[in-house]
Amino acid sequence: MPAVQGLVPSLRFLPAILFRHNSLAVLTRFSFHILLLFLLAQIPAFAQNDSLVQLPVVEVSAVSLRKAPSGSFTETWNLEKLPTSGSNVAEFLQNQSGVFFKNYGPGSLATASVRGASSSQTALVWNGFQLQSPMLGQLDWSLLPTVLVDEISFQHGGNGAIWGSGAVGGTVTMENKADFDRKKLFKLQSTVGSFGRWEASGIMHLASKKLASTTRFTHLNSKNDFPYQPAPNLPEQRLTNAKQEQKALMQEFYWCPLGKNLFSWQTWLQKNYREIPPTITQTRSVANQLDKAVRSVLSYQRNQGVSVIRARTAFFRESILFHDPLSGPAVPSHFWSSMSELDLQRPLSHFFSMQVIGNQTFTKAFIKNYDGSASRSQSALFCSLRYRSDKISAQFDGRIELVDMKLVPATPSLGIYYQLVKGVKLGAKTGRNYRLPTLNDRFWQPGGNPDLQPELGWSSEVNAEFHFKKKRSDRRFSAAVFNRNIKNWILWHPTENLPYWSASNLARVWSRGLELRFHGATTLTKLKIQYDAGYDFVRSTNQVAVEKPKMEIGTQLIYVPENQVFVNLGIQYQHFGITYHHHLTGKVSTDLGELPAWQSANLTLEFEPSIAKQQSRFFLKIENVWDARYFIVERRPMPGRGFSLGGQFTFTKN
Amino acid sequence: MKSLLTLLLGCFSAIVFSQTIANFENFGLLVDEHLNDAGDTGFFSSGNIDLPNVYDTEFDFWSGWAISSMTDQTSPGFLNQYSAITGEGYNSSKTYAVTYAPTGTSQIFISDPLTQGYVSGFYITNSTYAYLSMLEGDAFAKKFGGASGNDPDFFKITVKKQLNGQLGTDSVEFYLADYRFSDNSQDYILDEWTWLDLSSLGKADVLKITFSSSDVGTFGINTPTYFCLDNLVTTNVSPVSQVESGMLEMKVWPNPASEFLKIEWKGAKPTTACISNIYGQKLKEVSLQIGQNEVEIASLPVGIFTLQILGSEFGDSTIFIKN
Repeated sequence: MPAVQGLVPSLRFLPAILFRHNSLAVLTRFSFHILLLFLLAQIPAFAQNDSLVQLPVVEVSAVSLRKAPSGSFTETWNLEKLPTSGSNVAEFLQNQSGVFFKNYGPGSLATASVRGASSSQTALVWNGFQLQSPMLGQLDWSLLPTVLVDEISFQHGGNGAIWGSGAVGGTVTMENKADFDRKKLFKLQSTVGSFGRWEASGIMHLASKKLASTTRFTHLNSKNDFPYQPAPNLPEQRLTNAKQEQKALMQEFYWCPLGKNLFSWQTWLQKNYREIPPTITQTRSVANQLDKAVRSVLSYQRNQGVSVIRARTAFFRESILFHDPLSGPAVPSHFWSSMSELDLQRPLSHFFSMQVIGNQTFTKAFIKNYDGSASRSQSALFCSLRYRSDKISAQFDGRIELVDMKLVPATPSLGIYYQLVKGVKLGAKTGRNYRLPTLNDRFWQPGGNPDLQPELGWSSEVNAEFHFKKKRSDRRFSAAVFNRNIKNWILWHPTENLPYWSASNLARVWSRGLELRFHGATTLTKLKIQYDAGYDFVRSTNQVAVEKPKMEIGTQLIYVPENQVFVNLGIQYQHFGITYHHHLTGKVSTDLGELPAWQSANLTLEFEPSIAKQQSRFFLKIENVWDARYFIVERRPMPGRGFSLGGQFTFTKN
Repeated sequence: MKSLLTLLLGCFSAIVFSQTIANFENFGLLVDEHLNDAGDTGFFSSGNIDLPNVYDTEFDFWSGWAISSMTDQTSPGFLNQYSAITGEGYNSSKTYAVTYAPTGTSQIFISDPLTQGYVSGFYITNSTYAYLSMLEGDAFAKKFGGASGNDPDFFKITVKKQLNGQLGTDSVEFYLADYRFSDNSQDYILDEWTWLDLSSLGKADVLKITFSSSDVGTFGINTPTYFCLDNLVTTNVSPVSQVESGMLEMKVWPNPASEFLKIEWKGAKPTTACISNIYGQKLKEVSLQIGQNEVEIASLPVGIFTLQILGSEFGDSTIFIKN
């Protein structure tokens, strides 16, 4: 980016008769919460008569229609079964699903691009609420430790109707689950690795029939002073100013008093300090950044006969303190968001079920470039209607949303699965998706544009899944073809006759491609073999000529690879296991030219003995086994071969 | 008689030749001050030039030109955007001008082009911000030479004139940094005040300055587009004599000159020219090759002289002043 002053780096509809208040802002913010309580009091009006059968505790939960919408290509992983697939969500998804991450290096920023969408067009949802920063519209995925969650799902493609703004390229959901089955679980893992890395994490879980508590923590420290070659003919040098220290703590409480009700509370505290290393064309850097987050979700779920009623409320407060002593004083920023949802799900008949969700979100952000603060109020109503028979599952989703009292274009979607024959499923989906301009896009001074329109467009896909299961083997092959057009793509550009940049709805992007996935597992007496492979082809091209930034019609967006391949192979024999992961990413164009294709592979050796009848696991992981030298981001080197050695001890009692 | 002639010669010289120097001392800045808001006029004026300034009062942003007496030669980053790498103006003066061109172009307006529309040139150097960015790299721009030191990087300006709304075709390039040498020891980033000779451009009412850099991305030039300027000289007499005829073209500059006279000869073959005084006395014969020539005139006395191409059937000649 050129040198500019104040660089930009890279986030009521309710009846007023209920309450009167002089401040519209307070009405907007709080009236929904009050309405929530009002509606909860009316629950018996929605429900059928109580069932005479006492439902087991485990049946308190019911699968939301949002979780695996019909027609969508969705992958789900239980993290307990994949302990070495990545210590953070970026690493995990790259290993398991080939998601492309624009990764600035270990301990540095990592943002996702799914199906050729931008980093602010992939939604990340934690226990029902989106995590992207309302100021930046995106998230640093390297700051999400996998030890903090139980399950990750990845919904490929647009799901704007379900999740709202930002769910354009795909949606990743992370969930914590109530576990009343295991009475005690203590898990402690410690890892040491190359480049000054050590990490300790653990889980402590206690549960009775009605109460459960899970505490998770992680502490990571790394120097990241790996050697790299600035250019092929130059000697190696060590990366400087690249330290990272991350601490995270999550506390969960679950209370299931009567078997039909479940109260859940999760609070996530995190602090991440990292130094920002120099580029290969920079002599030194002393910049650093401190990220802090406090996230808390309180949920209530009630099974009322065949209906499920859920109420959730969340409060997030996150801050970033960026400081480059060479450039000036520290730049603090923070935001808080208050979110609430009321969710009703029930079957209408043997074939039809519906779900209605009302959501209210209020956000306020602070940074000096906002001239104080900026805020946003969102009220949304989501409806889903699903038809399910033996052969067909069809789902219609619709969403309308008010943002600061203005209606966002409605986002409907229609998806369908068809079970052709046993083991063969066809799917199709079409829907409208959008991404609201971030608070920075609208209110940054100078250059923010309060009149920006949401990025908006339609996406479609067809997919097929083939599942062959035999006594000793289980194989699943899936293919998806997608197409998406997004208009009003927001870009920052130099402002004519003014000395700063501005945001405008400048571009239109056409994305299309193919995704292939293969998963298999074979069991031979004491030998288990698991294998995954995937290939993504993505063409994501700009369809409007733009002067600055220079974008010609038909050119692939920068940092969107056309081709990606990954392969995982795992072999387990009794207590021993070996896992190999290989990843290949094709060349990408960048703002400075082009980066060549790169590939990297990891090898993990595991030994899982039973000690005192308890589980333990020891592992040796070799990262970048073939010592490839590559760049994912211009001028940001990636480390060569590295090692990590660790052990995990688990004590459980059911 | 001789003294009368000398007096007449001096008067003639004074009538014929005058120059104005814009040195920005008229702003009366103290050390380590700067002005980035020209107010309602939108221009900073000094000497015979007006420097356009855009200042956004709402956001405290500026572009175009600023006036500075900042002395910080060591602090990197845009917070030190007003300093010259020399830490002072030309010839140890206090004040100078600094330009910031976010779109890659800058302008200088000649206040009185009718009477003093010829620009001899100005002294130029790098801002500390741009200098250190090229020297060490920063988060947005590369260190010149790259990781190996061999990258053929450069940072330059191109100056063209505009007269009566017409952009001239001639241009003058000046490298603020040049790493294109095969011998890396010759690579440089300008860190002193250097004369930029613009006399070849001719009469102008606007100077258009365009930045170029080897460090360019999708968003344009990554190198900070700043430079500093001092002592811009305008004259009433063309510093370049140009002789055009049906067959020959010769440019002569600077005018006045003191030590060397540059002569661009565009004839089909080398030729010979002679230098004569106002009395017609031949003082010197010089050989001219095709292209640019440099003729020593330090030995000539102060006065007005004629340079004539020998053998030219059109009697091509021009007058220049030795001062």
